[in-house]
Amino acid sequence: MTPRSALLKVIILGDSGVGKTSLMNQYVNKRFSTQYKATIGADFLTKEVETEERPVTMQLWDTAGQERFQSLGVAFYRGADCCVLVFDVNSSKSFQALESWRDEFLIQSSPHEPEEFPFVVLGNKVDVDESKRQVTQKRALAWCQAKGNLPYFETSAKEAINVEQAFQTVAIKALQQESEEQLFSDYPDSFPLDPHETQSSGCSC
Amino acid sequence: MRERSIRSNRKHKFIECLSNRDISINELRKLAWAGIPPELRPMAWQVLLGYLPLASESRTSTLARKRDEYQSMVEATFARGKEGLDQPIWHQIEIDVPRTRPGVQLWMFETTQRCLERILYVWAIRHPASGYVQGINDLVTPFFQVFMSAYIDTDPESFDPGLLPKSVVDAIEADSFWCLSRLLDGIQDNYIFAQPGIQRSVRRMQELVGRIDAPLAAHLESEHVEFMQFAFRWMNCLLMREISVQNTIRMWDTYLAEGTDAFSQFHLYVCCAFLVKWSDKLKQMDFQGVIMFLQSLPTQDWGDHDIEMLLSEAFLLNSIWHNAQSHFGGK
Repeated sequence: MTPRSALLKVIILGDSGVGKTSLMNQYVNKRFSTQYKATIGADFLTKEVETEERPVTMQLWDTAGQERFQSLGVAFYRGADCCVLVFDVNSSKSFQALESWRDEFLIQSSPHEPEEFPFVVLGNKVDVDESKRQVTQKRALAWCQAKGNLPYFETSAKEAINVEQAFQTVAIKALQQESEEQLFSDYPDSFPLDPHETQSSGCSC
Repeated sequence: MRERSIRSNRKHKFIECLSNRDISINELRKLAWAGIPPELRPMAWQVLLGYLPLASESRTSTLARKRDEYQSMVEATFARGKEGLDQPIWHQIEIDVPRTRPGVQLWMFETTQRCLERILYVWAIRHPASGYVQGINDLVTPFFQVFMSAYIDTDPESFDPGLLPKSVVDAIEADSFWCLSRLLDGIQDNYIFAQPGIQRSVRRMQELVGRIDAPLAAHLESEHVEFMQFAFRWMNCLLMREISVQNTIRMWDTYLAEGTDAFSQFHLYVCCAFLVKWSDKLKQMDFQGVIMFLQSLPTQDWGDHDIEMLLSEAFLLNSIWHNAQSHFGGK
């Protein structure tokens, strides 16, 4: 018997123009185009993936990068199993923004254990000439380390470098997260561990 | 044969209406609701938006003044070169201009892109509460294309405006700027912080669909489809991502005839009619199917007729539900 396919929800975040849509389309459709319009709200794609554990259906939400759209995050972030943070290695600004993308995501999606929530970081556009590069691998790795050892990949959506590998990791991380969330939903937080304790929440003196 | 004579008769009425020394706005609205003949559209749109005066004697001087005014704003804004610009706003515009209608020749030409850049930037800094928001770039394109059509005989989508005299390009740019401004005046709260206009419209849309087509609303809910997941874009880009520019232009004839608040009010009913149109299909689909279907709707072959059907359905919904809205807590 083949194991049940898992449904995983993945959110892609990052500044406008770093290549989120291109990465998604390279991964899902194996295509690169220079003719994408700016994403408004979020676009939705799916991909079937095999992992060692079980087959997986990834639902990928490719979000808009402009800050103004952040207020609608809640409609898209809720219930996510993994979040992909993307920056452009040729833009220091887009790298610095990762911090606030991460914070914003945690606030709006409010996962059970924010410290444990899986992020995967992608430094995109490594095909561009080395002289244009503003964020070194070392600097990116240091940040990822500091945030709890986040997996980091240097990618090129244009030349299909590392895209497959990066999303394979996303699938695995999302699957782990999903199993843990399952545990939480079996034991909701309202479950009173000690009924006496919940009663005496006020000062009893 | 008969159709042609109806069309030429309609065109006649338009010409008559627009050549009056004092244009009757009510008459023009009535005519425009059913669609404007392409060659009269540039003038009709400008009149309907209140940009071109109703009285013929003040038109030339008003146009000259507004075009000069825009020109001086551009000069003042860009006087200190690119260093003098608001960098975050400029950066966003710079990355969006080349991806505005990508693949359509008109929008790939240098001249068009520079015009678009100036229109967006000048508008953005004059409206600091919203600034430039992605999607506003899409809204410029119908204006630019329609106004340019007044000066050429060929298809504007493949015409290089760089071939026109500079004074003509300047006029097209200025007119597009002012008309865009008028349109956006009616929907500013779509683009300010937290986008309350869009939030409100999407909420209302959900309430309305619940009443117009309860089985569809129930199905979407059971599949955990949130209206915000698809309708946000419908409001932010006025359906321009869902239908062609040709369709949009025809749709705007009616919106402009309804008045500038049509871009928030009437548009809401258009969106409801648009969703309900696919009801039978949607009800057969699961979450993934619904979302995928709604983000690539089969409207590629839509012509004026399809848009007109949609508009009349929206008109009907509007007349049934608009006054009823206060009964179900519409704010």
